[in-house]
Amino acid sequence: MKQLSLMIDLNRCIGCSTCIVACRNYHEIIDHALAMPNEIPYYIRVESRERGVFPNVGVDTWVMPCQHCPDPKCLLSCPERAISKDAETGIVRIDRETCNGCKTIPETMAAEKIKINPCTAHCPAHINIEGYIGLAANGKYKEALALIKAENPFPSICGRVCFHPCETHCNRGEIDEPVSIRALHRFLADLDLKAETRYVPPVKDRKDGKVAIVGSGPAGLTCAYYLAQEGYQVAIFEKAPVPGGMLTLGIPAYRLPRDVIEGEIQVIRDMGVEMKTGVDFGRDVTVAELRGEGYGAFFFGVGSQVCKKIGIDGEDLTGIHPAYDFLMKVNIQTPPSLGKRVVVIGGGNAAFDAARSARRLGAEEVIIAYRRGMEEMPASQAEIQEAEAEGVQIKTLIYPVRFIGTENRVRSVEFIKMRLTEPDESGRKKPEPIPGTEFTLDADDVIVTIGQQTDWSCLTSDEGFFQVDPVTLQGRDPDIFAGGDAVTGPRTVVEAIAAGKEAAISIDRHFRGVDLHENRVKDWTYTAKVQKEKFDPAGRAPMSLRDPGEREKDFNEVCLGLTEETARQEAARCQSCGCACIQSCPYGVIQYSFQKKSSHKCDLCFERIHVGEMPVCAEVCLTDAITFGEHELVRQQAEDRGKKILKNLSRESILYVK
Amino acid sequence: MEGSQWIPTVCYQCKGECAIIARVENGVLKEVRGNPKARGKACVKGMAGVSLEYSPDRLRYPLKRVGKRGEGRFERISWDEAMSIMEKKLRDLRDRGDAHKLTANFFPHSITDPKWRFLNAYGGFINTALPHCDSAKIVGFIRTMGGVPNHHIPPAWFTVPKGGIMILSGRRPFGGLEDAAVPRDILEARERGAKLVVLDPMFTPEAAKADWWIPIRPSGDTAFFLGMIHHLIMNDLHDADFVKKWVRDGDFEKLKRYIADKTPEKMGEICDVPAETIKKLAEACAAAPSVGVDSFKGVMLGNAMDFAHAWTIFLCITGNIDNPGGQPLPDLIPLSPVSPGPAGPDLHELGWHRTGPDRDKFAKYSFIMEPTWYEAQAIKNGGLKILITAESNPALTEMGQNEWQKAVCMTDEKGEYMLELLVSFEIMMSETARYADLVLPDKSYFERWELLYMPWWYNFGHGLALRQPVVEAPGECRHSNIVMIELGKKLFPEYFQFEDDIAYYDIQLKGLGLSVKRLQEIGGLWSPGTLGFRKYQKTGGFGTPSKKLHLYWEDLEAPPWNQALPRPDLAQEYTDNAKSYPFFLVSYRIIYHSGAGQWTHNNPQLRDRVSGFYENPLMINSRVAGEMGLADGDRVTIESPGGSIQVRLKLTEGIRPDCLGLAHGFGSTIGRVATVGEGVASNILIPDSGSTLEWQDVVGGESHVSTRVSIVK
Ligand SMILES: Cc1cc2nc3c(=O)[nH]c(=O)nc-3n(C[C@H](O)[C@H](O)[C@H](O)COP(=O)(O)OP(=O)(O)OC[C@H]3O[C@@H](n4cnc5c(N)ncnc54)[C@H](O)[C@@H]3O)c2cc1C
Ligand code: SF4
Repeated sequence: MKQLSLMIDLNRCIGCSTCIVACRNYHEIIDHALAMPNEIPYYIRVESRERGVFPNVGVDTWVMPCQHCPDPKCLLSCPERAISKDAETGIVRIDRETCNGCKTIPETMAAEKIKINPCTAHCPAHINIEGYIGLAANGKYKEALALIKAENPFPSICGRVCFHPCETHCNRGEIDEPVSIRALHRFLADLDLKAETRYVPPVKDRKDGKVAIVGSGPAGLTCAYYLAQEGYQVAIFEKAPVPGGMLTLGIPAYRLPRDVIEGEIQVIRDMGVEMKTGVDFGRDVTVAELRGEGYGAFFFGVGSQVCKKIGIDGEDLTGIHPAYDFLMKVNIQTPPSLGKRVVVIGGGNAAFDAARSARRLGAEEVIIAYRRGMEEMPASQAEIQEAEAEGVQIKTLIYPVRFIGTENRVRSVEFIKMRLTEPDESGRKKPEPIPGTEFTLDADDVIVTIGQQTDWSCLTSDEGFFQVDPVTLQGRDPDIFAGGDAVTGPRTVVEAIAAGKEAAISIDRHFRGVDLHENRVKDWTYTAKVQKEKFDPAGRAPMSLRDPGEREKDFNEVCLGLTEETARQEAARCQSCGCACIQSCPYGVIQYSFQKKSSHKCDLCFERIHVGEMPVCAEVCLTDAITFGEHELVRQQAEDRGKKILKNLSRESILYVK
Repeated sequence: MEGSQWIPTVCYQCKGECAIIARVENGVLKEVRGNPKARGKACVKGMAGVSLEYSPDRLRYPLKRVGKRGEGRFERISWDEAMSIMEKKLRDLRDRGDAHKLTANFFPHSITDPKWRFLNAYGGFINTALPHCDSAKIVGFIRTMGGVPNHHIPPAWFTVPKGGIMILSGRRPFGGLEDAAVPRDILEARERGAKLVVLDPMFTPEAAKADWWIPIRPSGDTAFFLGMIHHLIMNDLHDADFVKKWVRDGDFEKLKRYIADKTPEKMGEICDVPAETIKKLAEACAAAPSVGVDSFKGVMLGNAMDFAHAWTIFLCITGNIDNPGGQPLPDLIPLSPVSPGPAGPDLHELGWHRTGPDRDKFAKYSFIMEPTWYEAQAIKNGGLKILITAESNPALTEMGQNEWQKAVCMTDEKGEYMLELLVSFEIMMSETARYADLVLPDKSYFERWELLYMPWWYNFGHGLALRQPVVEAPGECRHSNIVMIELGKKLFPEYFQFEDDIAYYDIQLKGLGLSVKRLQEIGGLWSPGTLGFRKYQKTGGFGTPSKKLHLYWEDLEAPPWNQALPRPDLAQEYTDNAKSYPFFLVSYRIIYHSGAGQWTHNNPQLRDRVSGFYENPLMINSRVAGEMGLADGDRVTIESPGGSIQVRLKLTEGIRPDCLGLAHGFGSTIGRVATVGEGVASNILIPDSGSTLEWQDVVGGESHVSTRVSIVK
């Protein structure tokens, strides 16, 4: 296929917008009599950057039309298959007959269709959720999964353990209940669990750069996944005997079966990533050594795995287990034998994992002790319900004062009752002890989930806290990057995935010698509003669970997932707030037409170029900054004229030169 | 496309008037392009002409005021009624012997304009209708070279040779007004190996493409050029042969004596540019095969005549006149006279600046048009009785706009308006039209005939261009030219013995063997040939009385002028009140808006954030803002000796720390599109001209249009 292309010369583009207006007029995407500023569709826009400090200033301006990507994400996302890449010219086109504007209902909220959906905006990995749900509703499961994997390599894992901020913000929630986004995610991913048929993304031609990734948690694995796809040589160094980080070491198998983790990690191995387990980075091998071996970039995704101390008397008694140590033993070593009565301190996720694991290990009575009220508890409602069904008791507004033991073994815990203050300026109620309300609870074992911190001993040169640029994740040394829990403190799987993905973008740019900051921050605030008129209320498909009495006996998975029928039912509940293609386009170039109820965008003036004319933008450009032609020829021309190709503006078919 | 046709015509979104072609499909205007037979480009305003044409705000019928002036209450009347009101008032004024108390405020874009003929026949005045008029430049060039380069005759950038130097001094030619092809021509010259130098307190779009940006202090350009002139002359770097041959005897010696103490060091202090920079640019200019300078009134408009003078001297002593890459001179092709021709008002008798309160002081005022700012004064002094505005909006886009609005509402002791009749020809309601007694629906530039003859046009290669109707006008719109011809026939038929505008143009074209029809057949453009260089060699000199270049302006020797050679100091408007108003206000134009208000401000595509300019925040240097505890987006009040406005801040590195930048022309109060957003009118800050007479340019050119300001949080 020959790709037709535009070359945009930044030496010439003065950002005057002449092309934008001429393009609108030609394509008739404006109603001159009705148009109001800031509401007119456009196929091209101007971007610019200012650099330097007065008086040494510079400003670049360039235009951003559709990039006619080699692998268009819009094409991948369209549930109706209305988007195609023309075989002869490489031009990406939207067939406006087939496009149904993602189920636009006439007269409702047209302005919303062009916006980013709240689910995508709030997903840290920014998965095109509407897109995959749309594909799933049409039975296009493989395509749906590929669309997820463009942003997140771990759909089976996230489909089970993600805290799904997308659902919290789902517009459907304002009508009845949010769409079961996570369950759909899992449904699609589970169809792909068979090793023989599993989707492995294509890997580009091998590139020179060698990357060392430290830590095989979701952050490190994701970074490896995207860099391997780009063709870099990637090796992962993992301290533990098994890869997966907290997925394997922390989260119990009844929530996240081991074969699911293993399956998704295998994809990364299949992409050629080397997995070196049992290597304690900083001790067994160092940055300096690897630099000597030709590693050009390092990513530290070492997590936040050192348990904090609670700081009260008796903390060193036998029978007191830091949560992470306890869970790691349960997960990959020999589980400790527990007494009859186990007290778990804390109210977060880890507390519930610990408590429910303790039940499975045979503890008869398990009590979660939390210092605030039920409402303040960070664990999810589902989690609390499931735990209670399994017989876990929850006591709130109490806090341990000391551990009491005999013969160096814990026997009981002294608590004090707490109350919540009036909300302070930030609106938070603080717990404070009520003097004189001390009491004790007997305990054979205590599991403490107070918090974790990062162990930076993997980096010999740096002490203590390690700082990185919040956008590029680059550290003080330009070849060192870090992200995930290691940098943020204990957070979530999907945030670690997002960090790994951003780090991969940075590392790729680092190797290509391109500015790391350029065009990195996308505005996610422009989100679509709820369209209540569109749907009759209908509750979400229930997730089936194993019977509590049965499940509390083993570590097999508790949640059973959706059937195909319930999945499609659930997918149909999505309101399609925006348009799937608009959510997907990394360049924000797709527009929505209210009159035609479809999405539309630059097609390089397909009709004109077929009769030998130039695209309008190239024809009218005030400074002749736009050259149109066959991609390779245009590229050649740029090189012959000594122009530098600016890869950071776009890595796709449109060439930016300076 | 079916039923689709490209028709050559001429754009009029700004005064650049680029030759365009317009695509019409079944009687509907669809697209616009630069005419490939001219310089081939049309800018964003030109493209957005389609939105102008189909604006729902277009006026369709003549309107007569029913409330008080400014109230905006009108009733629909017939054209007959409108004509008879105008005729009666005009006869009245003339019969009283006060014909010179008529002024028409329109952009005199072609000497073929029949409105001009009407005024000459009547004995009235024309007024530039261009707020930031470059009249000082024109007067300066006439005085020194005897030629008339106005904003249409910048250096012919397409002729700049390799190694040539292009200097933009307080000029934003990427914003249009000369020709839409100028940006391309400048950038192509750069690619050929020419160097671009930008003198501006702001980092302009041109600066972004320049080899050298010199952030000069506003009004410092006269000093800057004098510093260069000093360096060139004192080091014998000037073009001695050229000076010997073409400069009037004695002028160079006078200049040399005068310039002796204008050292780059001293001048550098005035304009806040290191002496080294001044010397370096002077030396580069001396070594370059050509230097072209483009400016309007110089950097920030102060003391514009002094700057025009320094600028022309610089061109003369470096020999950069009518050479490739230098300053072209016009090449006049005479049109045939339409006899009998009216004589026009006697400007010597009436005074160029005829109704001013300080006539003696303005005795040397020599621009043929009255400055627009003068209207308010003239009304107050009883010197302006009928004002006809066409496609201009002095109530919004004029410095001291509030004073204008007050003046047109002033009444005498009998309660009659001092200004007896105010007529506004417009295509949509404007601030000015709102005050008018008659609002007359004009035809847009896509609906009318016009012969455009500006012999020095960058666009047409020294020739003629035909504006022709490409679509039908809505409602009862009539072109103002036709209306004035009709009135002319009634008032002085001897001067209007032709049928209509086309017949009028035909007579003028006769001498060239052309007619409107013929011009139409050959594509609407005509030129005598290519651009000629060094024409003065063939004609034996320049258009000055001595046929030589006049560096010394002897008539301005005596006090109060003291202006026989350019004075280096900053303009008074920049030095007065410096303590209480620490910043210079930089009012600048952008490509999306021409001065005239409604046309571009009421255009959705030119106000859209993606394709236009929505609001005009106040540009402030980031460091200064930081020191003052101000952040991006903060709302502040800017105060000047003339007024105050509220505006939002935009932090940038691209402006001098002692300047604040505000794009010109915002603040519309009428029009469904014009009124959206937080745009503000910078003119409110400009002190009224009547109260700042001592600041005015007393020898030619528009008044000062800038000021000092302060920020109040
Ligand atoms: C019990 C528990 C339950 C959780 N449940 C959920 C949940 O349901 N949903 C959710 O979204 N999040 C959950 N989280 C949080 C989530 O697991 C983490 O936020 C996420 O795993 C962080 O990923 P990461 O890649 O940054 O680090 P980690 O997953 O912590 O991985 C870091 C890896 O680096 C390795 N490493 C450390 N030091 C070295 C070294 N010197 N050399 C070599 N390797 C090293 C570690 O062995 C580890 O494998 C849970 C966490 C815990 C503890
Ligand atoms: S619309 Fe976006 S994703 Fe699709 S080809 Fe164009 S730039 Fe690429």
